[in-house]
Amino acid sequence: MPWGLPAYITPNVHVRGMLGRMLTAEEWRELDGSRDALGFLLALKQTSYGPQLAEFEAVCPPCELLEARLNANVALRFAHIIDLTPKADQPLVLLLKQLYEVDNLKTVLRGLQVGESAERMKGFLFPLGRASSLDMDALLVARDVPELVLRLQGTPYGDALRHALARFEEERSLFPLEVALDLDYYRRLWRAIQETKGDSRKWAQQLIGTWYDITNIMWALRYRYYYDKSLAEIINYTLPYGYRSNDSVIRGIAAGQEVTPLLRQVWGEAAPPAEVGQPGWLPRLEVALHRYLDKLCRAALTGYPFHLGVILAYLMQKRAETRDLMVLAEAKMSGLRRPAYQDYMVHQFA
Amino acid sequence: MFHAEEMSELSLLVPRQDIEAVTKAIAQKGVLHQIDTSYLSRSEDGSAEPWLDRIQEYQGFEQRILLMTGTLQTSEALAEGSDLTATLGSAELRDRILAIEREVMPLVRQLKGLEQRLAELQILQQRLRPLAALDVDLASLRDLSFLHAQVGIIPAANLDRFNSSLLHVPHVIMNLGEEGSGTLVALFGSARDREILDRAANSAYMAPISMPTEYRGTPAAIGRALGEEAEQLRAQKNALDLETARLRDAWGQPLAELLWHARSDLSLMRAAHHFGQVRDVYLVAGWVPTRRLPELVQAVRDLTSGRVEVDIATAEQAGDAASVPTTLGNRGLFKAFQGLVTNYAFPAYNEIDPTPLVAISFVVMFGLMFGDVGHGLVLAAAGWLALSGKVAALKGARGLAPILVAAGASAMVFGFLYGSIFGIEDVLPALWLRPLDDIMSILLATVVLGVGISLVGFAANIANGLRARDWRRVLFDRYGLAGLWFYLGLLGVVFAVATGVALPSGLIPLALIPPLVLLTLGEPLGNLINKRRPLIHEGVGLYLITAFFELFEAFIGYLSNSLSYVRLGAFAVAHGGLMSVFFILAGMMGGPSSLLYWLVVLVGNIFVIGFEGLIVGIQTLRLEYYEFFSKFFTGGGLPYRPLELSDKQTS
Repeated sequence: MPWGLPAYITPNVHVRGMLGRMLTAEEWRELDGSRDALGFLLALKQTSYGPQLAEFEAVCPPCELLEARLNANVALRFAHIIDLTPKADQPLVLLLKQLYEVDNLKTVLRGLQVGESAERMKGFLFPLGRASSLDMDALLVARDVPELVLRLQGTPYGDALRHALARFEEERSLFPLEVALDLDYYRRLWRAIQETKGDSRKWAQQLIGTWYDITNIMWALRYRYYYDKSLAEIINYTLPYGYRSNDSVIRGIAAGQEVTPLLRQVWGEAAPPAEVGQPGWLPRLEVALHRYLDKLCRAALTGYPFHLGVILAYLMQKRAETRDLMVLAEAKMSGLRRPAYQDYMVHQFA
Repeated sequence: MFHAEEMSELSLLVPRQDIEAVTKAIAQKGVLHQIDTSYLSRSEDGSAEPWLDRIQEYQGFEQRILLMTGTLQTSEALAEGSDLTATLGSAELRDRILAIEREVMPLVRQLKGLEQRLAELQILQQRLRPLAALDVDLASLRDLSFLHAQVGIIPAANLDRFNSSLLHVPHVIMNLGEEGSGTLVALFGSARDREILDRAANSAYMAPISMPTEYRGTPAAIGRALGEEAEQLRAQKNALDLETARLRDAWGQPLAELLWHARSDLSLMRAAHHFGQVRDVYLVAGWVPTRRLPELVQAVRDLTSGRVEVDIATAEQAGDAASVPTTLGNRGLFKAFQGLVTNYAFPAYNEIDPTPLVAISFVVMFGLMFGDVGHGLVLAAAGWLALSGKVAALKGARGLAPILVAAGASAMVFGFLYGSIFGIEDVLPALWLRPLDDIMSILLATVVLGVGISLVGFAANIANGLRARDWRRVLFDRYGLAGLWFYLGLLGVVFAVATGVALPSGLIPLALIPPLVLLTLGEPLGNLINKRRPLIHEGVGLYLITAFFELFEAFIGYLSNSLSYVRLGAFAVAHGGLMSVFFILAGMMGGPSSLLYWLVVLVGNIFVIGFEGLIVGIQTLRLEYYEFFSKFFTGGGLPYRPLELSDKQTS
């Protein structure tokens, strides 16, 4: 019996079912062709996201609320997938879901910073259910950021935030807290990848590792070109390891070396060119890299099907799909036409 | 016993002038589980504000009282005979608090000032602690001309990265030891690289340890100075003890009463904050046990001279069963087992409360695995002691005590059936069998018991389906009627094969094939009966593949669920076996006349009662949670929490 077959028969069948509920090319065209935000909403209600949008009738909700509802759809799929994933690989999938927990924490941090009410913040949180290591209700009653950090002590995020709190209090900026959360999360994710075994490890490295590389490189580029951070700061705000990337690539970016050759070091000819200095070059580059990841995901979904890669590829594609939907929603709300937003979406219209 | 108390949805339309009185009356009755209707009164930005100002005002009152009670260390308990009938308005409450503050606050400020300074000194001492071994004047590190030095704590995970971030900058990082999840380091570099070094240290989250400039000398010398100052402050604080005691005696009770009023009103306002308001009318809605409904409605009508509009709906009429709160009416011994159920999930309103089933099956299964008169007696006695509250060490186990008594009693009963007392098998006659001598019989008996418990699970699932009018669950679920048919058919075939009974031809296909078809087509048939379309969501091909694997999984599940109960017999055998091992060990120490022999027997008994008792308890729970509950119990219910006058801190 081929390796992985017994454990991955049922997950594979279910994931195929879920893949069947992702947006089809026809549905994308309908969404793209909608004339305004309301048209977009009505088209989206006809898709598998419909049940989460039932409450909206005549007006498209604001972006944050729409994102929360799309996330509710993702949460449903995640809950199903976690139940299906074989025990040995479950920690990695759970940790992937915790990325949304990190996003939730950032939402709460930002809400507290601007004095948002707990009730309103709650509406924007990703519904994590039992995968959450946090009691969000207990966190939402925090009156300010230091109290939130205090309430997080003893959770997986406690230490990272405690060390960053002094900087927050000095700078009154959430930047150090958010960077600390990201670094801590991605370190744990890297450890989780290393702890997978056999075939699962291969797929985890290939798919999550690539995503990891993209994230790390995009951080370095942002710190270098958007935030004007020093070399040492960029090193400290990024991670030294990756699947095909490595520390020398990050150092190269931090030192201001030409970006395209550095990307080629990582992804060879598949690396998209970096048009440094052109308007919107960084988001476009990020989307181009995610399209490369999307290709890897599609490859994982063909061929021998009984492995962790099928689950990971689906989750990556689902995340990209909701992200694209948000880009499209914002474009429709702003009355933009396809040429203005096409480059910012992973999905490519035929 | 098996179902939650019947609930009705009560909606009251209350004029604005009556809302406070009605809220108080409802809270005094303590029967209404509130439904949030504040969405009716939400302003444009989505927030319900009408009561927030008053809530904040009363939170302020609560905090001011707590500041005084905390400083004076008064009890929050009310003295007997406290008169709490009077209603205090916010103005009166404020005046009374102010009057006490005039007396108490000067002392509070003085004490808080001293405590704050002591806390500051403690922080300084903590900062110094990691540097205690350094024989360097800290001031000298501040005044370096050509060197830049910084001492601080860096998260351990960042240390390597920090070091490598300064690859091209001359520097030295001295590791001075671990400090919690961080590492204490000293960073040295050239003064001209100060900015690079500081930015790097900052981005690596290094928290500098700095001392106020008024302190000079080595860390040890500064530590001594801080200690002396702290001692002086403590002496000043002690000198205020007499005055604190006088104020505590004078104002302790008035403060406790004011706190009760503030918190009661606060809980009412928090409830009112969730009432919907449209112009001058409030919508108060909630769930009330149907049998308590008339008295609540009557009380509200009497209070408002009939100005309140009342609407009542049954849970079925209200439609959404998931939003109906559940009351669990278990009493006596069953109540103790309720925790085991809610620890797994809280029963939903329209499903069976499995507590009585768990209470019975848990006790029987535990006794079966742990059958020994002596060991059961020890457990029951420990439970009884915990229940009596006479042993301080067992007070924490009071909630579990009834379970311990019942499990111990069951172990004693099975001890008599097995003829075992403290592991000695030749004193009592076995009324049934000795597990060690008749292993096959006990294993078979436990499988039969497992089949019985599984059948109860099937019945409970069908009952739950009927109650929820979920026909698919009743008819086509793997634990519904089709599943039961298949399971019984499977049992019949296994029984016939095991006993050599020849079954009439055609009986086996009749027993197995129709239920398999029903199970396979469960989703479309269920949708057909429930008039839902489409009948199949994922396409016929994918549906059939999924159905095939789910059927396969169900088949394996039936077998493994039933066989899982073999562990009951296996543990009964292991229990006897483990004790016989200790008797062999004791025999090696000498005969029964030797003290060592009895010492080993005693240690063996303690080990078996403690260690095996724990394992048997876990195994019993496992069987309940995974084998039994998985057949019928979904949970996800909402505990019934009526609105009550609260004197607890709720902020």
